[in-house]
Amino acid sequence: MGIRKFLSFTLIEIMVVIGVIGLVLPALFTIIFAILQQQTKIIRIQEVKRQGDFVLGVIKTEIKNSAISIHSGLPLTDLNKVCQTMFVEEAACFKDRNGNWFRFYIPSGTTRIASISASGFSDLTNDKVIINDFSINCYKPGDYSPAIVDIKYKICYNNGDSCSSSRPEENMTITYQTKIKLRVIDF
Amino acid sequence: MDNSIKKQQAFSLIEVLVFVSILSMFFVLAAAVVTFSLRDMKINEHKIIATQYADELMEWLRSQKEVDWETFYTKADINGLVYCFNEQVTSVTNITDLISGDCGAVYDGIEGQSPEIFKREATLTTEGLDQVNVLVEVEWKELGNSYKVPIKSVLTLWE
Repeated sequence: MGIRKFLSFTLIEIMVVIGVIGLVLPALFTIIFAILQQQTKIIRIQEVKRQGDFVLGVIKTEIKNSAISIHSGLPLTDLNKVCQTMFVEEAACFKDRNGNWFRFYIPSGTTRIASISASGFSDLTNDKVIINDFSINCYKPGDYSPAIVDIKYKICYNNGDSCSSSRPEENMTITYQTKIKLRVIDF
Repeated sequence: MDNSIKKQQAFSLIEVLVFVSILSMFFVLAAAVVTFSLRDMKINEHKIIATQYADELMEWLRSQKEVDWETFYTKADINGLVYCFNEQVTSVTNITDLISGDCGAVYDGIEGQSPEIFKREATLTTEGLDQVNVLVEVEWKELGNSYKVPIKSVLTLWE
């Protein structure tokens, strides 16, 4: 009888063990959840910043180094030149030193920024992010100064075709804005 | 006889104590590792945000310089003028409105954006007549430590 008593657990023992497990498991899951949440946040913020910086870098370098005149459309003629005055206009196409055209735009039906020229097409961002309020405008502050190009866009992490998510740690939007001066004066 | 069997089947106090202490050491270690890594992750997150704030201000200053060099140049001097940029740069419409002065010891973040722990300052120093050295610093305090992200750049009339 005495031996049998020690071969099984008593109700108290079982209750103590379950009680301890009940304390430890929630604490463990809370910690795991906190780590995952923090990781999600960092991954998203990094992705958005990386792609945003890349787009800004490419657009700035391309326009600064290559553009000599700005046009409202194709083909590039003297008639559709824009930004010859203080009046702010949309800069749709640029002409480079060799007379070729290039432009930056959001292809319809997508949320990516793309770069296109006579020699090819490439996406500057992928579907992990969404681009909003993208605009390239320009004006000329004076007759004898180069045109100034104003670039603006918002970039956010793609939460299923939308920038906002019900979970606050998944929301991540960065606004980019800069102005650059062309190297040459276009009369 | 009965007594000796009972003794054989149960753990002694020493055994239980040794086991519990090893287990607790393991748990304390695990908890410490998790706490440290969570803290580091939080700091890293704030570092990325701070870098973004600094980049944003540098880009804004560069754009102001492109638009109007003369006004931009008057905002700097040989000893360095400090400006506080705790508002969003998109809401500062004109560089002529800028008034020099540092942020003080207030860390209440960039206007309208959480977390509210940052302060952002820019120092504009002239070098000759056609160059301004820019230092943008974003600073924040976290768990008693002070962190800083500095970005330096040279803006000239000619580039």
